[in-house]
Amino acid sequence: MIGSRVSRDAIEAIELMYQAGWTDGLPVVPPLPELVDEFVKYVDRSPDDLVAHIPPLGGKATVAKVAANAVMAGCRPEYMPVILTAIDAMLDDKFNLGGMQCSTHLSTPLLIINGPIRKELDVNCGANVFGQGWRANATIGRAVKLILVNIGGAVPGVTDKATLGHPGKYTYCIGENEEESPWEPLHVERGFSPDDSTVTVYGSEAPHNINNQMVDNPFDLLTTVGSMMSNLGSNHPYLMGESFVALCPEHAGVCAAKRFRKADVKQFLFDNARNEHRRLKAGGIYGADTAKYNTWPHWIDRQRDDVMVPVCRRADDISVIVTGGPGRHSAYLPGWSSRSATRKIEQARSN
Amino acid sequence: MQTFTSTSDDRKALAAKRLAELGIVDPTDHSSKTLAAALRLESLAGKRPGLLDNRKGNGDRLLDRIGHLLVDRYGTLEPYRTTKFIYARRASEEIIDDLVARCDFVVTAVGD
Repeated sequence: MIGSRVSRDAIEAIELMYQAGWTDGLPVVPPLPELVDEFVKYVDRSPDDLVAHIPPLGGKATVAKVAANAVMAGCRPEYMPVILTAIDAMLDDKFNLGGMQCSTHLSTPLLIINGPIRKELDVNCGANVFGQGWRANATIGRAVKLILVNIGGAVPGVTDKATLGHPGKYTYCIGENEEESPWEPLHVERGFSPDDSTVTVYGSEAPHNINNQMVDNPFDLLTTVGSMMSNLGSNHPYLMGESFVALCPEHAGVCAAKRFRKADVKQFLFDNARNEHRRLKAGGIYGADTAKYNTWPHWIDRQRDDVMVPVCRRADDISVIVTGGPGRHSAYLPGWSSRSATRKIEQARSN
Repeated sequence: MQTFTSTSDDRKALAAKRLAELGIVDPTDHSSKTLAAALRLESLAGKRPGLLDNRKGNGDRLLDRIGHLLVDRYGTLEPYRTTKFIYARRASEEIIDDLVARCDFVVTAVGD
């Protein structure tokens, strides 16, 4: 029963927004002008300022249009700088947003937030980090996805040709658990200050769970991780490119206890997440004709069936973050063979 | 074409109009420029085809066959072949400029 203090117009608006094709299938908050104005004012910009043309159809993302989608997603005004920065990062040419949105592959932008803003906005970096329950994670990620469809024109089944898609296409936003990581966080590794706040965007499949509860050494642990990375259904053994490993704090601790730095983790995975050439011929995107894989390193001898082929061209193409809560489950995040991009959140207000 | 929603375009427009009357801000943008198709050639005879292989599986075989058919059935000149680095990215400006300079029309293909 709708209470007398809730306007029936609001309920009608929610229903009409379904009919208009503006939602992701879940209800949205009606973007009233006064709410949109509040979001625009927070970033101290003109509502008509052009943020970007969003692929694939090149719709104009003005600050007001971005704000309207943020309101709909359930955001707070202070999330706006993160959303605007994520848009800027996704437009980096190496990210290939247009291709990603139209592909039959199921990858979708994942947002990884680093720095002090995680605390300011209460971004979940701990237990159930990829799951539900945190407003900042849920609504920042959702705002970006609404923008890609409502402004970018990536309409599922029409311009977005994903065969399957995955639940991260509703929302996909995490924070790195910097406090429980034994290593420098992602943004520091990429040249930012620990005091900077950043957004990294990465075209990602859903998390693939890596369960190893008994392990007491990095060699067995990373062998488990490498096994997940080298499966034949992934793009990477064939197309290479960047992919992400999300280690839980306990797994990262197992590595650090044996003096493994992040670079050692990457090197071990690069050396061990490999497939014998003859095995690769069973799967892939070109089928058996592995001679055509022009993204493979030149030092792979394709004449040999027993040569071991890595899942990327170099160890640094494996990005490692630490996230999640207690327990011994890590995740592999296979991608789409484009590259992640990191941007500093310039507009963030500090209290 | 199968679409995401059964809502017709007319119904969507009606809903958007009603939302505007309610004072709701439109979160969409449909102002992106639409590109018109190039003028059709009156005849393919004597024209130079470009065949752009995007490296997707079997696209090269399909283009080979199309190239032969163009020469044999339509009297085109020998096709000019070029290849994208990877299918997932747009063709580079250099490839596009090269095709424009050399060819009267271009065929590209996905064969998987």
